[in-house]
Amino acid sequence: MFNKLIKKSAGKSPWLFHVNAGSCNGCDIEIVACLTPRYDAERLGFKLAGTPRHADIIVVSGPVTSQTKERVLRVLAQAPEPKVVVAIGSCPQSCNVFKGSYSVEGPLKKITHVDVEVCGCAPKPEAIMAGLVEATKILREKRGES
Amino acid sequence: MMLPYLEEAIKNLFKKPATRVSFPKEIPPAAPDYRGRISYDPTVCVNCGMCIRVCAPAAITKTVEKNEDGDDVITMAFDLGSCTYCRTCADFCAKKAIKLTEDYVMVSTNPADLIVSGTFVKKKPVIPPKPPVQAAPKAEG
Amino acid sequence: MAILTILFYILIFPGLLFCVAVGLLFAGIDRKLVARMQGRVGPPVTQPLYDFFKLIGKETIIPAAANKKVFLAAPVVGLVSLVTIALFIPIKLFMPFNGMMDVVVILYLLCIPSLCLIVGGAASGSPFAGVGISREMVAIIAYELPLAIILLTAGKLAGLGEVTFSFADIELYQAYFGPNLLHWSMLPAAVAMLLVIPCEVGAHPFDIAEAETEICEGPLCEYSGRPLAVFKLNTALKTFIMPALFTALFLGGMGTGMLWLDVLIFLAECVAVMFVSMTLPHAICARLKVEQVFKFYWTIVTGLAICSFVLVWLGV
Repeated sequence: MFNKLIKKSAGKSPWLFHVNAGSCNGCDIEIVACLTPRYDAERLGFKLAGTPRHADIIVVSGPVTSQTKERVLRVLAQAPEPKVVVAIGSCPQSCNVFKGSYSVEGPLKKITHVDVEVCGCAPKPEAIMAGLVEATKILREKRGES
Repeated sequence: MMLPYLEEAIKNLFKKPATRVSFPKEIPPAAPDYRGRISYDPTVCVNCGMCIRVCAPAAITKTVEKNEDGDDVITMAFDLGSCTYCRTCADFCAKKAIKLTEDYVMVSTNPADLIVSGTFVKKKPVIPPKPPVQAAPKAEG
Repeated sequence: MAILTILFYILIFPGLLFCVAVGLLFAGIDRKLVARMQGRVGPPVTQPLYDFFKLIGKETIIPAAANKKVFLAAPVVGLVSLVTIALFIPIKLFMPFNGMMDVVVILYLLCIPSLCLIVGGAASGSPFAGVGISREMVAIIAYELPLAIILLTAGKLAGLGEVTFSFADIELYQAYFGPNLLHWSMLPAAVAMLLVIPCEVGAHPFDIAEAETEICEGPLCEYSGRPLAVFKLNTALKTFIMPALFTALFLGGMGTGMLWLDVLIFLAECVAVMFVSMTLPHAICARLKVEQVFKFYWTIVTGLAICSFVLVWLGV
């Protein structure tokens, strides 16, 4: 019974940890907008956690700059399994307009496996929520196999 | 009053919440003129390359291959994961082959899903047979 | 047979199972009400249960700098002491364990979960936890003084001339003379108690120790997986136990005689107390600063408690 409950709960209470990897703050305010009364991500169980140790979903925004690369890697290493990495916006996927800059080490998929990608510059809060719902499905799958 | 939101909080308890409850199931329409997923119509494209020149994040790529007839097969690929959705490409498109639709939920677990591409064939120009070279008229003396 | 009854008390009815179920339910109601007051839909009432089981299923990481045994034992000790408190809190006149000094026992046991947070945080070896535990200590010093005075006041009132530290006496007094809340000399103490509850639980305006946006959840910074689940359970249990303590101190009295009805009335009263003391401040207040919390508790709340104490002592 407990196993069943654990499996059921895996997708129902995903806690987010948000890493700003050199983002312009556009995607960041859209992520915060998800928690406002209009969109209310909390009704699906989402919650912004304060530390990567509590997180299920690591949300990355921004092209990974050379200053943040190490920090992103450390945050990813600190998060307990099972975890899902979600790239918000065009920057972590391709560096967007910052491609080829001397200070950018991205895209994110160069340094880690990206599970869900949400496009847009910046994506609408609905798109971010759709991406997070997609991420909970992956969480449930990962919980199911282990 | 030290607690300015007290009244509002109590009122909210008896009001309907401001949340769009239907959201994850049905997607509300975007604002008019929203710049979302790119749609590309290869049948009207004239292959001028203007969109590639104006694209700031270099999200548009053109690949040219030859088919067996010797015609050019031109593929225009728009990487949504690289796009800034500025609509400059659509504005500069002479034939209006590029449009930005109002579909904004572009979520994928596979990066290949996020590439919009279109292919068209540019026929090898038919070179007209050269007219026979006539002898230069004799210079009249 | 007597041992079986005691085991039933400890493990099932006022003890572990009942406490955990009601605590998680209360935490869910709290979150739902806060969301509704902010104009949101809010998570389902069962959300804390999902959170708990999700955390059970997660990987537990023990930092290299941590003292492993203390790190893992701290949350469990906190849970045990909270369940013990629940055994001593009377539900109307139903008291499975009563003694001469159970009010003092509760006062001491209430300290332990916060101390466990401090010990666990210190064992994790994280600098954020270091800041968090210093703040938690400030919070303990802030609310322990008014809480002790409030309990003393209730004991003085129920002792009829001398001070009693037995919950049975306090409940019997309320059964004869009506709930303490109706004594006007106890009103300041009741208000002070309502203000002590959120700080003890670590609820929003006074959650200086677990400020997730400033100091990464403070003492819980390095916790993950099962120990974190137990800590979250401790918070949920406190959400139930502190309002229950208020209800026993100020809204006690004659039950209906039927246990299940008494329990239902008791729980309804607890929800009302939780709404006034924890949910409403959470929905409308921002987090206070450390020194603001300390000042607030040692001036206004302690003042209210002392005012009530003097009134009761003078017998007016």
